[in-house]
Amino acid sequence: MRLYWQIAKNMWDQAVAYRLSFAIFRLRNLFWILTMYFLWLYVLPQGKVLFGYDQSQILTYILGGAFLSSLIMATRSQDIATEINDGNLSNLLLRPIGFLRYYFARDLGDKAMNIFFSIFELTIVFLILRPNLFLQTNPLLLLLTLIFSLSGTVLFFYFSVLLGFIGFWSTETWGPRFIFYQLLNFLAGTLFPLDIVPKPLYTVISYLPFPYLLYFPMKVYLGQLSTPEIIKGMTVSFAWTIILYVITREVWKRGLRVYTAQGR
Amino acid sequence: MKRYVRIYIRLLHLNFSSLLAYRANFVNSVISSSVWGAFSIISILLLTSRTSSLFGWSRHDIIFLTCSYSILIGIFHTFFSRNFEHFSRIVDLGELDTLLIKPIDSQFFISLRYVNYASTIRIVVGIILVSYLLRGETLSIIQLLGYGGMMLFGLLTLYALWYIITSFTIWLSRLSNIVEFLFTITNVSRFPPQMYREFSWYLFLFFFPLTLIITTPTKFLLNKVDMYSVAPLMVTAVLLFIFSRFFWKFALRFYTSASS
Repeated sequence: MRLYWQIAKNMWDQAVAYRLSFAIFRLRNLFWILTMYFLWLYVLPQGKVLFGYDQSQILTYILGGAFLSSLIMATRSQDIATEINDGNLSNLLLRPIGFLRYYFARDLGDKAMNIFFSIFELTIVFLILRPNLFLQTNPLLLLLTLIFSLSGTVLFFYFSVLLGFIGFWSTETWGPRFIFYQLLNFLAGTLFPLDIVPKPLYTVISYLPFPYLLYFPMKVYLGQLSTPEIIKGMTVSFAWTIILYVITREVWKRGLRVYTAQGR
Repeated sequence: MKRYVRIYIRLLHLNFSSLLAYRANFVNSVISSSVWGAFSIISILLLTSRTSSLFGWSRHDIIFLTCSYSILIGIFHTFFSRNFEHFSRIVDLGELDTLLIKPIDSQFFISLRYVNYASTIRIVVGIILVSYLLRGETLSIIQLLGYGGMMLFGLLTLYALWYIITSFTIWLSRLSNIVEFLFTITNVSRFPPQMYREFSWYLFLFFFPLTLIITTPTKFLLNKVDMYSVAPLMVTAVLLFIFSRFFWKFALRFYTSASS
């Protein structure tokens, strides 16, 4: 356990070492959040209800989603493809470290740094803009939000690792990752709550793993889901976690069979 | 001037040969560009599905703005953005030395060396959508020329802004993600300037040049233009371009070369 703690800490130190790059990355996020914030603030003035949301709920969704994405979607696993293509994966294979645990520990270090910055940014946004936010006080819903957020973190990790594994078969890995992030922006509800899409499309999306990354935790926080909906969400999200875990293990095994340590 | 045109035609040929050599990369880029374009249009369709107007723009105009953005950003990504992606690497690895000793303007060569043909798909999609939105409308030649002309000024503004900001890598060569930051702030131009003016004058002033680059050409085509909308973009474009040249020459004085 101490070993993985050290790996996470190294990741944090690395982010601190390249602090200007990291600050630029966060600033970029902040710009995007502010754009979405202003857009929704105008689309949904105070006192108006649109798509079943009032202004405080939608602003909470945007700002809360921004905070959650620094927990769920912060990752360093994009390095996996480069490590495979450069042959540097061999260094890791020779060490007594579990591959998935190693990358998850790195992700935790990165997530800690992102959460730290996210709290700082959102505090500034709050102090300057004084948004009208919705505060959830029901402890059960807060607990469920935390559970869904953690489950989303695991789901995202498997997705990201699988995209990295493309490196076993191809050097062109940025394209699939870019498309995945575009899909994510749309299907995870990063840009807008998913229930504003037409009902049949929403039903299809709810069986995919993407909504459980961001949309679902935020909906639970807002208290807009019924008990059967929460149970259904938990079942689908849990099923996808198992499916993705099995796929990840299998792809890893097959990938290792074709790995040639090219470049070493 | 003739020499530069000849050199650029040669660069276009070289980039086309490299496209044929890296076909998988091309296919990846085409798919990514299409997905990106599709989602940005779907998002705006959904966001405006229950509102007839936004920031003083009708729903039709807002969608038009998004399609125009697709055309302009497609042109920018085809001819410029890949060069900016190489910028920090060129400086960091000391490759700038070999560029500076060539008998050619360094800003010209750094800005136009690489061409990303895959991004032309965004231009095509944007033109098809704009034509669809304008179906049945009669456009005057002035409107069309004005739209094209203002697009060029918008492009010049965007180019100059990117060039000025990436020039900072001369001092901060490890700032490799500055281009990703620029990609994000360029998104600001997709929305009407009123959105920022409404809520914060500070933000509006900061984003001012960006908010002009798409809205001005779009207003031209929608026949909503006057001198007060055209002049700011033209003046901003020319001033920023002149400043980008001045700033680049100034920055080069601090270039220390590395690893060469």
